[in-house]
Amino acid sequence: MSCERARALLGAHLDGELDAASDREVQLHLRECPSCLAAANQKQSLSAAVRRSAPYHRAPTALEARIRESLRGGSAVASQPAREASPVARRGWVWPWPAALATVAAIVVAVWIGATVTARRAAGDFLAEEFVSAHVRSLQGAHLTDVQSSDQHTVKPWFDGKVDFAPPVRDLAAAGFPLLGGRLDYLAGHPAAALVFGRNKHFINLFIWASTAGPAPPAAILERRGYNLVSWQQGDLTFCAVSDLNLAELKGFTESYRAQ
Amino acid sequence: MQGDERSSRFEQTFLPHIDAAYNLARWLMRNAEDAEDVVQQAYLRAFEAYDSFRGLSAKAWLLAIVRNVCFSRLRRSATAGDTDEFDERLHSPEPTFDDPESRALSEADSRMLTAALEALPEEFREAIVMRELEELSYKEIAAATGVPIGTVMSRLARGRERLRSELLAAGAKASRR
Repeated sequence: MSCERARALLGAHLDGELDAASDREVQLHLRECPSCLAAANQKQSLSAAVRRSAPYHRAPTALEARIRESLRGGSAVASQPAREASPVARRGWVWPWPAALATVAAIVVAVWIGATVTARRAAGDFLAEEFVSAHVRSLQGAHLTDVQSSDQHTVKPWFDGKVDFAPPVRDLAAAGFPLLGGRLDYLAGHPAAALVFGRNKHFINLFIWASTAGPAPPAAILERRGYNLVSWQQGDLTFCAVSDLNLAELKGFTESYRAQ
Repeated sequence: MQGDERSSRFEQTFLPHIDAAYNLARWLMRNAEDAEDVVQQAYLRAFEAYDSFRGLSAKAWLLAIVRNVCFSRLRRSATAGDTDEFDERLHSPEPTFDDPESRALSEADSRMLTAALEALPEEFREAIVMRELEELSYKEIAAATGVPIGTVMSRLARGRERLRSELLAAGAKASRR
């Protein structure tokens, strides 16, 4: 793939909007072309900056109540532009008290649920971004594995003294997911073991960390920038598998891993 | 459909997207009061046109109406003469390898981002808001804005390029102070 072509597809690649074949070609090109890789990093930094720092404007709660009212108010209100209609909506309504109380209660509950979900989503999103970035980073440089071996008895002892838990290392070659090696990674400031598995021409990073020391896991199943994430907890370890594999295949992987 | 049933179905389908509607309106109108009016009017229009809604993405369908209301208001007030043009003289710095640029971008704060996004022409701004903040797919953005996917891609690419130069220029200015 030429640089010109790669640059044209870079945005769609990072947005997870390319077909699998072109996406693969872009990935291969990025591995051998430092200047396109730098461009990709910059684009990614820009997207991350927008997502992180551009304010998301939530609708004021009173607005929803006003819209419900005007919808119930029928077509006389509906046919007027909102600016003219709004003084009526803001001041002129005589609410039957029970309905008003029910509405207020519903809004309070909705806001509470919304705030909880939003806070959780924001934390989960942040972490999901971390995993995807760690996965992408591992594929970009020559740093996919610190210890390169398909032998679980070589990979497992390598983590001794590097992390304070023993990651369950399994070779899933029989299920079509050969073990390629392991790597020490840092997620949200905590050390994590990364096991690397292959699937045809795709890679899977399985991040493992101690639940007590590391971050809480992101949602069980997530999709970010075209990558799928599957997370779970087992004993006192937390696991998160990241790959550009489709979700069904990635779930097949996590099931084989957990079954052993 | 009975009136009440119709409106409660409408509410169930579309009120969950009120934040998305308001966020887009707020970014396009650039002030809270207009954004509220736009959203209220958009919901009323959506309710009137509800029978023509065919179960596509409800969010994209609603956002299509929100932006139409925004643009008709903006066009109306544009005749009063308060348009602003993007400064084409700003040129983009060349990418470098050790990447101070990524660092500069990652240091952009919310005030800089708001200013830079609000300085973008509307069609770029809405594409970026829909993609980065609403996480709409290209297909949904195409449906909401009524343009082909190729146009969505080029608007995103050009919008991001401009946003990048705006942010780097703002960053350079801030660090000179």
